[in-house]
Amino acid sequence: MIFAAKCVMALLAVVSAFGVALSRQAVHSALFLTCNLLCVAVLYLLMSLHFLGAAQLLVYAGAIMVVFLFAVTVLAPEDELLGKWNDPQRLAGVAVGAVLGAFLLLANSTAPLLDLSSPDFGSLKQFASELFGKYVFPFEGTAFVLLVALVGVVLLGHRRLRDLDRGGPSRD
Amino acid sequence: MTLEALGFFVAVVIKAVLFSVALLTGFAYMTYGERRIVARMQWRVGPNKVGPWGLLQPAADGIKLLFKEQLQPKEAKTFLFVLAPMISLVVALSAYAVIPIDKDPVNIFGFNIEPWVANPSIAMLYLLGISSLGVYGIILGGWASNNKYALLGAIRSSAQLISYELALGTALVSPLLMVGSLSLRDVVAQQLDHSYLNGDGGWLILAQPVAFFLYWTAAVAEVNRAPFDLPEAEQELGAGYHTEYSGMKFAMFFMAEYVNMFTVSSVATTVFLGGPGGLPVDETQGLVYRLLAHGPHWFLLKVYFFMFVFIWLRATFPRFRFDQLMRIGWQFLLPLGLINLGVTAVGVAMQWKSYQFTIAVMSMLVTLVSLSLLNRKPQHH
Repeated sequence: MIFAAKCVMALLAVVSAFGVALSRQAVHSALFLTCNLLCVAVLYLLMSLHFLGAAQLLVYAGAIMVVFLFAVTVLAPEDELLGKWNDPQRLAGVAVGAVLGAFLLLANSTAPLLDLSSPDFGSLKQFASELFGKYVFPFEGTAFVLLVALVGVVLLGHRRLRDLDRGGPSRD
Repeated sequence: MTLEALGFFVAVVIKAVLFSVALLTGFAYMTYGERRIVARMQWRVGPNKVGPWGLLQPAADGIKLLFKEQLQPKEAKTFLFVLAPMISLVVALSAYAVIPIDKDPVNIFGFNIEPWVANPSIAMLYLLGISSLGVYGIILGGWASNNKYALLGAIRSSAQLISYELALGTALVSPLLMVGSLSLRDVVAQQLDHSYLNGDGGWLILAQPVAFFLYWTAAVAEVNRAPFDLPEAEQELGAGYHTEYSGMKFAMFFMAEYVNMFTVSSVATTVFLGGPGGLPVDETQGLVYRLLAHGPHWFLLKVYFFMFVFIWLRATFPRFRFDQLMRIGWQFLLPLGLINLGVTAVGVAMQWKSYQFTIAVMSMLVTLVSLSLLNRKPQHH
């Protein structure tokens, strides 16, 4: 039963991933990506990794993709048609994708399968004690790096706005 | 699939259907209640012609919307145009699955009935995650309508939801930190048997008044209700994201809004007001005492009180300007929420008593308010 559900979700994830790459409109691509992320969240839940599933839902589908969609609908490139099939940029993308996929296949075919049989694996308590015990320094380090990136973006954005104010077109 | 698993599955489906029906009936009568109450507050009468006291008005409205012509703009994106209201409604209804309407499972005719649809250990995260998906319905509806007012409403709405989600989250973390669990069943149980804070806890609103205020403000903004109803500001945008919708598609957006109101009211009740808890009497002394101590009727009473507050706010406050909206969200609610979270974390680590929490939080609030009053810039116009 659960295995069948996993198969359906995996299939849906693959189909929506192709949808991201092949749709003709940016909004549709963004929606397919949302669908893909939701499928992955459901896969986590089916593996009884509850926290990971909820975090995936909350962070990716609920926040990041909303901002994506927000940007895409505001800047809406109207009906951007697909270019020719031998567009060099696209060929390069396909090549990079193929190499990445090959590496993933290779890595996954030799990796030992994790034993998820322990009922506590992935539970909130265990996750928290691992995160704030064993992995506290990497965790805090990542947080710091993200903070630096955030401050940098704000700084750069401000500078651009200032330049616009100084020499750009009048805004009234 | 074993027989037991099948029974569990059937029970969950039945409960989900019952909850949905209850929510949609609640929606229908909230529209009636809202019109009557706002009318009373504005010195009018409101709908009173259909049935006794106008009580059949929701049925009449429903029939009207069912048979109304389904209009659709010529250049609208049909698929997304139809999908958007469905996303809104489905997301709104599924958020309710983790809310417990009573403390413990009850035994009726030999069946052990749990008063919730599901009780995962990550209930609060599920709730936040699902309700953050509701904005898709609004953005897609506004975009697919191919109408600039609808798109403006959708953009406003998504900016507002993203801004206030942070304040909402930080406001909810503080009480959950005191309880030490994300499961709403634990939150209710610990409030009713006072087991958090080393046996000193009561309803969480007493220990976390600031968090409650922050939660309620952010929640009103999250469900796009007045005074935060900029996404559907009639005077500026027609009707915002649902300008182009008519008939049942419009009704679905409308339902989603009211179901979301029920959800945030229920979360406020569950997390801050002790959920289904009632009077402090000994529940073992018989059925009457048990009903006085806790039960779904207490839960409903509190939820409807919050629904009334929604209507009251709408009749009282004028709409915020957009810059005011952003300033409240980012410069007031979020910093206050973070400070409150810090104070709570210190208190939990030092094992304060409940009243110490209240004193600390209140003194923090007084300091902040006086600082902000001192810091006020003169207004130039």
